[in-house]
Amino acid sequence: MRADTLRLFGPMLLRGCGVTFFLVWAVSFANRLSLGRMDALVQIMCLFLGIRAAAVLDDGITREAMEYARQLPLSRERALFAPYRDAVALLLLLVALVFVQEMTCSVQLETRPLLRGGRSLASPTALFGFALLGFAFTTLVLVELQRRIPRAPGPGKLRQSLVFGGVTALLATLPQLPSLVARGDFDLLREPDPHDAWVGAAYALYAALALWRVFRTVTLAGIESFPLREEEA
Amino acid sequence: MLAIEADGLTKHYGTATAVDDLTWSLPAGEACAFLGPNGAGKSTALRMLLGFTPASRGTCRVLGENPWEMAPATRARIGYVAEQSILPPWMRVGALLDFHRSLYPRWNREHERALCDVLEVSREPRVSQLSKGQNRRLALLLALAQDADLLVLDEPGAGLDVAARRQLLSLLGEFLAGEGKTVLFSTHLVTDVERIASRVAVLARGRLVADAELDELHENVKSVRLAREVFERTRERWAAAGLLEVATDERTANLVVRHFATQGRFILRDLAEGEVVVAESDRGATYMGSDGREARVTNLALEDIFLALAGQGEGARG
Repeated sequence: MRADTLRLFGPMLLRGCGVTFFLVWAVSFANRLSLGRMDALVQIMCLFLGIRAAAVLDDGITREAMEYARQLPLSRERALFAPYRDAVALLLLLVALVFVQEMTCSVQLETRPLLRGGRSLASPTALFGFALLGFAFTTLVLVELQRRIPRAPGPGKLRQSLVFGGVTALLATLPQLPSLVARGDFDLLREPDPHDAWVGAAYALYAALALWRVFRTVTLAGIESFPLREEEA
Repeated sequence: MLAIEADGLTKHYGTATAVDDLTWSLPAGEACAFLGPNGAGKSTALRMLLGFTPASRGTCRVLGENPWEMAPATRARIGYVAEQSILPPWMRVGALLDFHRSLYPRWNREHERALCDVLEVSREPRVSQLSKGQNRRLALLLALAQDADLLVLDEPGAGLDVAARRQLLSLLGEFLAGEGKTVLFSTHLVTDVERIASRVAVLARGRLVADAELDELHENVKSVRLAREVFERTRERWAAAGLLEVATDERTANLVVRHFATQGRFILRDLAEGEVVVAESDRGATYMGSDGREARVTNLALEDIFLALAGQGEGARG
């Protein structure tokens, strides 16, 4: 790791680590609450972080940010992904969060339905161990991303933030899918749960918006048809 | 050796054509100005040349490479100053300088310090806290300190006060003094052009309407004042022949014509009536048409040349 890299991105690194610690604490707090509240808390946290990731991601695909990235002496692929660095970091952080949460809970319970509310109280030792793991993982990811790819954010937009909030939430939920399947939550014959329907509808919306967003990203990346500003027409 | 080559470069945005069949080149070691009114396609052309956006048609090579697939080492030889700030607003100036220093192998640390002093760039503030002029100075510093071979500037004088513009011109002059250094910049400000550029390319409605050395442009684009009858008789055919009409009045007619200097004689080629020779008479600045009518040929300021070539003189018709 180069000294100037640390100096340059040190503050961001600290911020990322701080967020990680906060999230781990929040997860443990949510675990203590148990009795179904876990579900809502995870959803809220995912959405909150997702919105933040989306804002960063959206910042990165302004024309100014793309120009800045493309003018740097980086390969085209790295330059294209340069603006997304922090968003990728946040997404990985979310995945790490869920991973830590799942692992923490499975220490005490063989199976644990996350979305239906956990009833575990993770041992402090296990929690600390996995928090450390999450911290190390996130730190490494951040450092590596920041070393390799410069960031170039610009002004964000709420709509697009919401879109990627959805994508982030979807990604954060992926690790939970096996437990969902194991519980038979996808049994179509059982009585519908209004809560599940709400979550399902939200994810469907997220997925649709994500597809739209990917399309926009690809077009912005230069495949074609950047919307022309009036003065350039 | 050519620093930039464009062959049939075209950019469509939907049904709109921003740049239309741009075939143009810039030899290394020259300073060229892209002149053109708003919407002429200057910025789009620059963005294609820099590989920020792909061309709809045509090809271009910058420093010998396709800019869309340019190797990082070649890109490190290009300095770019955008019209609007593209620098990361969250970064402190010092951090940004450190970051760029780590990316550019030919970064000149001493030059960076000198430029910081000259341009009064402080390392402390964040980019978002800089004024437009300060931002532009920082972008210029970054482009100059990397010791680029090719400097591309989009409207470099826009938003700068008089002193800052002079400083900019002075720094560009110093840059051009280096061996093989090339500058391409777009601008509306013809005063900037005359101070820096040795070559001018005029874009209008996406098309290249002139590409010449500055001196050559002055020599070949003149205003010719003819008798009204002569003008009326031939104006449509001259317009069709590429001679550019600028203005008329009750008694005389002014034409701005280009590429008509031939061995000391100015020749207006009238397609129907043959050559109308406007040759120098004994009376100094007065020239005589081949029909014996007096014609007056005068030099034009670059601004007038620009207006004429860009087709903005139409509003002056009487």
